Amino acid sequence: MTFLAALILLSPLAMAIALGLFGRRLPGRTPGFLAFASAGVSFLCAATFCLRLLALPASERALSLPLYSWISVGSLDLNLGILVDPLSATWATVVTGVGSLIFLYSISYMQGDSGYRRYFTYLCLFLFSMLILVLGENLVLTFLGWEGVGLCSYLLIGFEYDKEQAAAAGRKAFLVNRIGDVGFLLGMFWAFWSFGTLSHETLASSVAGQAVSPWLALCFFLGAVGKSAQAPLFVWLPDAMAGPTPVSALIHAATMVTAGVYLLCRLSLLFAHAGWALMVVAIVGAFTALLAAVIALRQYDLKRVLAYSTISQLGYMFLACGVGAFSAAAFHVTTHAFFKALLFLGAGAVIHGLSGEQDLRKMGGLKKSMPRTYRSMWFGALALAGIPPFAGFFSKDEILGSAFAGGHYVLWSVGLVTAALTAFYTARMMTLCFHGSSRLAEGVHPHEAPPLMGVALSLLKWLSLFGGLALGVEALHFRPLHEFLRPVLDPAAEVLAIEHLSVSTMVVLLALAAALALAMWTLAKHWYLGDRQVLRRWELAAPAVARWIAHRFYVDEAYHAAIVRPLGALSRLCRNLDTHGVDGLFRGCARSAAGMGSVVRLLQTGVVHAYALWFLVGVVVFLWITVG
Amino acid sequence: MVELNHYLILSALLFGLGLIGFVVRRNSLIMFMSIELMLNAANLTFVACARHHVGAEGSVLALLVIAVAAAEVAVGLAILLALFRLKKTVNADEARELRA
Amino acid sequence: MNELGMLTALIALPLVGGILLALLPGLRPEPARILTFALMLVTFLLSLALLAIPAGSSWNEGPFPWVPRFGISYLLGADGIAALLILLTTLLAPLVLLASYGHVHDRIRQHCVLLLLMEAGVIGVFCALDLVLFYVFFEMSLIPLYFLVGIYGGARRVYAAFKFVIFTMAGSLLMLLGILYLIHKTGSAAYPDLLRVSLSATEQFYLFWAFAAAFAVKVPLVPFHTWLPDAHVEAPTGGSVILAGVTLKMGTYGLLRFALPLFPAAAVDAVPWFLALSVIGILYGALLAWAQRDMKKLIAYSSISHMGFVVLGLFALTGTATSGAVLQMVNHGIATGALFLLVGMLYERAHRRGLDDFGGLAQTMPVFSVFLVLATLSSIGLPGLNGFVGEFLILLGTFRDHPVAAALASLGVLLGAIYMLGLLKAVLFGPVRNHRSAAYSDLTIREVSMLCPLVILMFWIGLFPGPLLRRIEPCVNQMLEAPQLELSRHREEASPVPRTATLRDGSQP
Repeated sequence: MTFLAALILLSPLAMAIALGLFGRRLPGRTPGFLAFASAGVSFLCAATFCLRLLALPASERALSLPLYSWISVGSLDLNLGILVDPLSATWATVVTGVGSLIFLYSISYMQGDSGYRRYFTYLCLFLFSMLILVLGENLVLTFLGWEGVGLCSYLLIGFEYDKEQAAAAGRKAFLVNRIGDVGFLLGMFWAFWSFGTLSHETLASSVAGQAVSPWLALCFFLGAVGKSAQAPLFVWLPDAMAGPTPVSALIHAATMVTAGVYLLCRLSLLFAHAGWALMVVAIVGAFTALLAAVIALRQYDLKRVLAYSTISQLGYMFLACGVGAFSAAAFHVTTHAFFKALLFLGAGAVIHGLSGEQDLRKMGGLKKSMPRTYRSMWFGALALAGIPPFAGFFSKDEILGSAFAGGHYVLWSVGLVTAALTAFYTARMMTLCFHGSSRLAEGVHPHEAPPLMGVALSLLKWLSLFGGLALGVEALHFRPLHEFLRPVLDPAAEVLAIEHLSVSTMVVLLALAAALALAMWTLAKHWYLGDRQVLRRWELAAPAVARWIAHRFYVDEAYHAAIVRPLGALSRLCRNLDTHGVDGLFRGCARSAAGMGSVVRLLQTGVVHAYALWFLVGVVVFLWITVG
Repeated sequence: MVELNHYLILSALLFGLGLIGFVVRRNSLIMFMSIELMLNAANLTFVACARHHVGAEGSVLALLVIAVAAAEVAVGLAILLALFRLKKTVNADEARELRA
Repeated sequence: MNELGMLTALIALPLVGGILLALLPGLRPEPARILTFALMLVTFLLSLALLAIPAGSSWNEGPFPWVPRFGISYLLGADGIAALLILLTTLLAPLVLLASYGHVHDRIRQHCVLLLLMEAGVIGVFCALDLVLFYVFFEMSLIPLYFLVGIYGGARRVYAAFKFVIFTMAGSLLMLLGILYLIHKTGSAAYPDLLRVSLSATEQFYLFWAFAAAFAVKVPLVPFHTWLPDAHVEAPTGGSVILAGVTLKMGTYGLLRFALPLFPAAAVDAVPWFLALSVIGILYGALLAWAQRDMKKLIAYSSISHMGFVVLGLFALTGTATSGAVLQMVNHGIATGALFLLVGMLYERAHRRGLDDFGGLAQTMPVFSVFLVLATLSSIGLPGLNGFVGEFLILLGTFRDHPVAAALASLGVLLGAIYMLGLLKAVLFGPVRNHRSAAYSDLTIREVSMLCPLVILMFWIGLFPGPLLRRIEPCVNQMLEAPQLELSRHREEASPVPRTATLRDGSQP
């Protein structure tokens, strides 16, 4: 059992080390296949673990496997070890499962790249860090993984480091994440001195029944906001699209960005006791969901549309956590991993087929030349738009249902509007990309993706279709994932006394959401396929709004003006202060000492007689003092 | 009878002469001799006092001063010689290399 | 142990070696360098024996009377803290010598002599338990460094060396006054005797600040830091490594070993000052580092920021924070030492150090890039590497009593990432700005072998800090016993009226 658990982690780690140190001589695509094998092994172990846990009674579904004592000072005793419980096992399975498919896809996608081996080294390192984040048995280990994935994201965004833009985007991602990390750190310190432990298991038991300061919870929340690209720290994710597309699929859609949701679920009990903190989570989530969906309406870069949709979907997950539906959040994480990975990989296939073109305005009519990619993308798009019976429908509507059941009608309506917008921009993206007439640039000859990429796409395609049905249909009381997660997430739900909707209300809400999504879908398709005049009229009616949306509400510019530039100015001010002020003070001291010296040295004339006279004067004065 | 006071007056006169010579003259050889004059004035005092108090300490000190003066002459004249070689003069005002 | 033993041997080996080397003018440079390397290696291997010091106890040698009339004796002692710092010194010394192959081409034998004398002085500082002996070693380590900077340094080397010596001497003269007063008052300069002496509040106040002045300049604590950037920029690579790696630690070591336990009441009173200065140092140093365009200057200012963390940890007066501070001394020596070595290697190839002179080196010098990234990550405290453990413990320990200070210091972690990643981006990534950089060769075996021990230690301390912390913690608790007692007395006196509004514990009861 220990061996199996350790293998989940060690397989990608060993491969990262092996590829990094000794992989230079490997020919062709071998590094890719080896990395895929390590991810596959990891997935098989994680899946086996899930099944093993399922076989255990609900109360015993947690295995803590400490390896050794890592940091032990005073009352602090941190183990390096892993904790496998339903929550971490679920996450680990999703991460390794979707991860291995993306590894498989990358084998073909990255073929011929000069950094092929480096790419897979980073990818393995990322997988390892992500698994540490999920499986670490205490908050500090989670933080280790947390920073590790941040580092890998930094390295992978800047993978094509000779591009200025990619290097800058990588740094931006790391720094914005670090703002959140400061919150995470402070949360850990505060939690440690409040509860005396940082281990996940004992923390849960010592929190129970205590009132927790909402600010403590918000410290952790700040960390989650940074990592999961929520408002106001979402600005790094769209830029992160400068990395290779499979990286966007793996790190910036399916896995790493859900780490914030994982943290909220892991600390669900702490948040449940923290008063109004959860409300903040819900509001931030709903706001982010809406904001990102609005921005996505006007983006023309295929990957940026997907990036904003990711932010928006993560907002849903935060909304779910905020209204206490932690298992619904976990459910949405799972389905989102399937369909968003699919969409990104499909987008990658499109970009690959168009030799690097990402602008939706220069696509169109691709369904003929790329039929398989087209079909796969459709599955993902329908899941994202929330059209039944695709996976996204069930998970998203469970979140909306929970918000409704908790009496948060404003949040619910925000979520519903966002769902409508989601359907609209998804349909817009699909229409612009695959339908209508071809707007390709001269000399671009679209071609279908190679078979290995196709395999990954079609597997994810079926997951996007059946993932929701298989994991939970609330209206039918068929909820295997929720049942599995109960031991971890139920205590929080009990504290919050979550309401449940009656089946009839649920069906009404589902029908409403589905109808709205379908309507918006048709509308978008109609507008973008046929008569574009409607759109122009809309834009002319409210040009300011259109401009604000197109410029992403000027958030980046605002950050630049409010934080980046003042800080830079401050640092230059400090430099001047230091060289002229502080050091000037000491140099002034030195100069005044030298000045005194230059006065006294006037006496040193070099004339012997002058010295003799001074000598005489000295003797007289001496005699005068002693005798007279 | 020659009393202690007479010796002391003579010694003071000699000392004053040496002092004035040192301050006034520019020739370093003369200045050097003036210093010797002052030393000998001190010697005279020592010996006179030794005689007066009937003790040996004063004479011993005088002998010490003579020994030191001899050594000083050796070093001082060597310096003067070197100075003369360098400057072709023994005027003390010409040698102002130690000016700050 | 009352006989001469390992500690004396560790001091004597480089000292005698250095003197002999200086007296053998016939020796040609290359054999001299090899001889020195062998000597340093032997010293390092010998110093490994210090790991055998049982946790919580120490090895003592002496006292042998030196100037018995004033109670001055030859008394050495090494506990866990001293052992670690001595090990750091003996490890860095041979690396510095290896680095000298790249940039010291004249006066090689003299360079070796200086390094050996320096090593002896620093080891002496870390194990002297007699205040006068400590002072002698403290000054003795200064002089070789003065010549290292002044002879082998850059264009403004004389200015920098002079400034460095004046600053340090000005501080340590105050300490000398303090030492003289203590001897006058107690008739002994031996540390164990002085621990038992009770001093009045006024005496403690003046003595504490006299000692603190010497150490604050050495650390350096803002605003006494301005000698450091100049010294670092002008120093040769080896000088920078020693300066940042070892000599700065003499300041924090002195604070912990002497200033805190000898004058606990004054130290407790001074806590707010030191917390404020260290937090200012952390943020101010980081902002300054960000504004620099010269790599060595950037790393020099980052040292000010990192040493601020160490002082913060020392004066948080909790076992956790102070243990973290001691560990961070070692970590900073490793990470900053590696950074200076790397910058030096680049300088030997390009003869320039500006951030704007490079770019895209990741393509032309992949091995160099890997090492630079690792050293940077260690410096910004990425978990899994050594820097994290120290910073985490410091901040965790500080947060208990001073949450605001800890929160502000955490911002230093953020700023650290900004300027260090800026360095990486400017040097390694982006387009190639300097077309000559294509001709730079990647690291040689000699250079890789200098960096490997440091990188191994980065991972080792990051993942298995247990053995180090087990040695540090009991000693730290001994050092903190008196100040903590004083602190609790303070609290009791202040309990009827809450003195400060700092929140002790975040949770509501």
